[in-house]
Amino acid sequence: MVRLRFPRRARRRTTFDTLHNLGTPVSPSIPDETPIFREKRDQEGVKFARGLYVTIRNQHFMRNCSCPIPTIYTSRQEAVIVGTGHIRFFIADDDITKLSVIQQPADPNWHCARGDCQYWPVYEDLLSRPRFNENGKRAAESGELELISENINPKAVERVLPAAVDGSTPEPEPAPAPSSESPMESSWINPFALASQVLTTMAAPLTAPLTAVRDFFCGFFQGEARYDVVDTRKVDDANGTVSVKRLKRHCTPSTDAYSNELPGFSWADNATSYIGRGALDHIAEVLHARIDSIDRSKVTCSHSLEDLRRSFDPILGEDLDLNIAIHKLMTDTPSIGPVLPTDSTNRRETKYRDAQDLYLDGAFTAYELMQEIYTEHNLDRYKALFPKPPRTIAYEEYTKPEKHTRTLHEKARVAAEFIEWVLQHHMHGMEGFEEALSKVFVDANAIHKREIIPSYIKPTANESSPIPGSFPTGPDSPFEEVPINDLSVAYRWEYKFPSTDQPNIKHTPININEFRPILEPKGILKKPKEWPAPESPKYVATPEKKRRLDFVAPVASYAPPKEIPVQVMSLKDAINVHWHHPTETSNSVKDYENDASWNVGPATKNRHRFAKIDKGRSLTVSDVTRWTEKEVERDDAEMGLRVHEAKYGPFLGDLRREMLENFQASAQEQSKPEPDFNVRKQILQRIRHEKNQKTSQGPLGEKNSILDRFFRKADQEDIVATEGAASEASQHEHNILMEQASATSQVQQSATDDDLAIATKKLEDLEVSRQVAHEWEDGIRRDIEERHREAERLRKEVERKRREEKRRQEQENRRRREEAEQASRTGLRVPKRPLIGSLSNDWEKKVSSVLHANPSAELAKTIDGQPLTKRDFVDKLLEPGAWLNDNVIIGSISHIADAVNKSAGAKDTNPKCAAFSSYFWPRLESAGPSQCGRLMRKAHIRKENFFDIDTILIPICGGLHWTLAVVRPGKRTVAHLDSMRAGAGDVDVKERLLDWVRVTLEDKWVASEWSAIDYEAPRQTNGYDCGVFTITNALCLALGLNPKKSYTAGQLTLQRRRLAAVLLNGGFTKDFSLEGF
Amino acid sequence: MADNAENGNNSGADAAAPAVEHLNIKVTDNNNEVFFKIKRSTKLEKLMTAFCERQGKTLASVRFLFEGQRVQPTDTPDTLEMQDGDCLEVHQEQVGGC
Repeated sequence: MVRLRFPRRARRRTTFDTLHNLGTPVSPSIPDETPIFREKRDQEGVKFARGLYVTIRNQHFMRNCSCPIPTIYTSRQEAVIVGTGHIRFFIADDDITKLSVIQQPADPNWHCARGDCQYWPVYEDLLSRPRFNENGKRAAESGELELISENINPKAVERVLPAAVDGSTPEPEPAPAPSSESPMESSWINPFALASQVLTTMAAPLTAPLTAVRDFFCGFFQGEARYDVVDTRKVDDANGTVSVKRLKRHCTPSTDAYSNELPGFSWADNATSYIGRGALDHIAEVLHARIDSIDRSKVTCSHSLEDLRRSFDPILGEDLDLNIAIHKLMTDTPSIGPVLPTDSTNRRETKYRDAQDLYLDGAFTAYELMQEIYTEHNLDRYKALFPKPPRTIAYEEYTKPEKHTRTLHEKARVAAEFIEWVLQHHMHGMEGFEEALSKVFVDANAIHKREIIPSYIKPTANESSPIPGSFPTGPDSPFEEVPINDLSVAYRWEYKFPSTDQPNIKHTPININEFRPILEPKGILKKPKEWPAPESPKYVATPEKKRRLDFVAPVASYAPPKEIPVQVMSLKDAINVHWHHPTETSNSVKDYENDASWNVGPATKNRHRFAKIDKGRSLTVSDVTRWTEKEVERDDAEMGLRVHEAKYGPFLGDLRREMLENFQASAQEQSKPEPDFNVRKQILQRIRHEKNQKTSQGPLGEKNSILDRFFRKADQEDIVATEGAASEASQHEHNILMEQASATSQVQQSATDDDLAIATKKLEDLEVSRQVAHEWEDGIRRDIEERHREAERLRKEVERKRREEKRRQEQENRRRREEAEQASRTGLRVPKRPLIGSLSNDWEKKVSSVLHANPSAELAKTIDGQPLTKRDFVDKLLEPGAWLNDNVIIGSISHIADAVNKSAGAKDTNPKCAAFSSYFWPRLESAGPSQCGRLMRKAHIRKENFFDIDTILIPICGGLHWTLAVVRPGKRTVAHLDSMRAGAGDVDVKERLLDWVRVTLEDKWVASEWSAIDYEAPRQTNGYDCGVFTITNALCLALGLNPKKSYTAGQLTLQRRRLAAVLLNGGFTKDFSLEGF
Repeated sequence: MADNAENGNNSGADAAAPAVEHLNIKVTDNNNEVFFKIKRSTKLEKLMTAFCERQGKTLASVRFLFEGQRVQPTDTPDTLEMQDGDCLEVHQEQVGGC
């Protein structure tokens, strides 16, 4: 059995154990989470943590918050113990798809107070792809680096082909033209310039390993063989040329991705046989020597390489190579950076200490890893677990680390990084062991990638395929020199922190604040493929301006966060933290001075920096276990802004508020004792007792009647309520109401000093109850008033209606009375049937036949014997609009008088109704009343029978207008009916009538008895119907009818035909009898 | 009276009768005066027609009135109890509409 020789010193406890022992009293138990948080997380599972994370990230982004987003821890343990912040994210079960979150209510720091600004590139890939710069541009990806060319002054790089390492012959490559100005060469200017600068500061450039950038890619190389390659570059300080060496190894053969079998391989016999015992021992020795040197304070803190060399004193046992290495590590590490002229002394020391800690950490971890994996025990264990070598091994399942230390693959990553760096910089003492070192590196990388360690396996006899990760043998030397044009490389540090001084560039000074143009790659490089536009709405096409691109992978993937605070920060601490250099938070780390296991030396004052935890950060992302493309696309499209913000934004706010309230509550809890409920109860009982006594003493005022009712009701309910314990609260309320009647002073009296708070609360309750009672009372009063108002309103309404009815009745009565008076005065009545009825068909025909009569023929004869011809009938009566002549008027009126007399049975000499001809009036006017004897005789009107006559009809034709004068001796009235005046008449006519009556009556005349009145009659509205009006009015008055109630003006056209019929009939007989009106 | 007229008519050749039997009748329409000497038994239609012809009027459009009484064509001075020197008034036909 082969035993590796490991120095004993290296077997002490790791820094992580130390940290755990000395660490802050953080309990690793499950944190106490709030119910709402736990409930929501349990409901939504993985989506919850992811949504919350994206929400926080987006909130920061949208607010342009300067504080970083939360860190994702590798395990729950880590999150609980070393994590900070109120909300902590971690990866559950080492499955990156299982992002989980816990809440730490005890931590007053919100996630904004978290100090670490970096998170895993895999999660960056997972959570925030595509990531954008501040100007909305996406970062350059690894394949795009060849586009980055920021110098337009290429410098000739001469290719040198030194003796091949390990004696292998390099591949013959066509040397590029020295004066080539391809952009790819120009991309070398910056690193090269920096290298030259560094060179000038180095006093002893024996071998000048300067720049080396690892470019890890898997591609076809040299025909069919595939290799993973590591490039190493050197600059010959003599002529300034650059040589590039490429280290190759076999990559894993591509087989079925889902099979864990590794075909063609079997377990190796010995873990050290592949690399070689001697080489491993040597490497371990060198590493231990370096660790020991640092432990023995053989490291000098210098500010520059020049200073370092100047102050080098070999007598003190200082290790110059170590010092230079640490200095270069400092320069290469982005999180530390080179010493700048602007840095203060304190800051320079800090940087140097950080680099030293980093170096020590890397060397120690590499040493530890080698100790772990190159033992027969470890190999046997895996042999027992797997009969055949598997393709992948989850090492962490089988290597249980001590609590709170790094897992195996985390260690492997740190070790691999360190060894890689050693390879690049050709650590002193490692000369000749590059291949062995590279093999260790490949092994470590395999562990980190959860692949089978190449040292553990060997190809089976009949298989010729090389071991994955193994180096090519024979003509395929692991080392070969390649033309720099083949390299797509960039200097890591330079991209992060561009140098301000550009000594080699004269005509184009570079402004770091300026973006530089992207030049099309030329030369031997194949044409770059077209990059699809990022699938994001926020993407803006690259403008035509100078810019520079940043890149994230794979170089950035090897720039993990270096610092994780190990102590829970207070808010005060968090404020003081300088985020870019978190190591200044010296309080966050425990001092190791008291650790006896450390060799305390003068230089270890600052060794506590070493306590920084650098957990493995980059997990291998399996394509199978990634988020589905659809999910990522959807999240990209919305950037998680809308959905997650809507879903988790308020939730976050609630959490924040809840946290603050908890803190305030806990603070108050300590300062303020809780009041005793029993005391309060006693007080309430006492108050109630007093109130009852007061009630029994005397009746309360009327004002409290409502309250009394309230109290009685409350008492009844009280009795019921006492049976149930649950009704205790309501009982208290009733008590409060009952105490309302008692004075406030009583409460104050009963409240002792101890119960001041309770009494105050009591008073407030009483006040509230009293207000409620008052409001109730007011409400009832308002209700009653409202009803009163309503009743009053109804009463007024009824009264008003009654008054209106009364007034209407009065008006009706007055109207009736007036009508009765009018009727009694005029002696006129309403006809019993229509006065003007339609003609029968026979009479219609007779009337119509008049139109065709002989003009000279005598169609009818009036009572006076006046013949009526067609002229009288047609031209003067029947034609529409015809004016009536005297023949028609006189004939009609005489017929009326005759009919009335006959119906009354009066003799001709003693008529009841007398009618004058229309020529009476002209005679009366011209000759006077005394000269009308002949006409009066003819009308049989005498002094003696004057009062026996009911009606005297006198048609008057004056000025082409027919009117009617009526004398009614029985009524002692005279009247003049003018159809144009609706029955009213002319005063002169009436006076003349009275004069005629007076003359006629002689001594029978009594002036006081006689009056001139007006009758109501329809009004004439046209220019031709006055004759018809006159005749019809005469008919009405002869019959004693009210003309206005007997006919209307619209009936007069029919009346013309009726009059014609009456004249043809020879009077109002037979069909035209006046009986019954 | 009726006997007288009959007598007069019947005994036209009576010597004393013509002085007594003839009447002078004045017919006037306010503008013109026409005297007629007629017998008592003569129908006034003769007189009325003569007057209308002289004045150029139709008989239907005029009204002859004696003391306000309409004179019919068949009337004679006897029926109207006219005396010598009486006057007949001629009126226009009475027409009215408005």
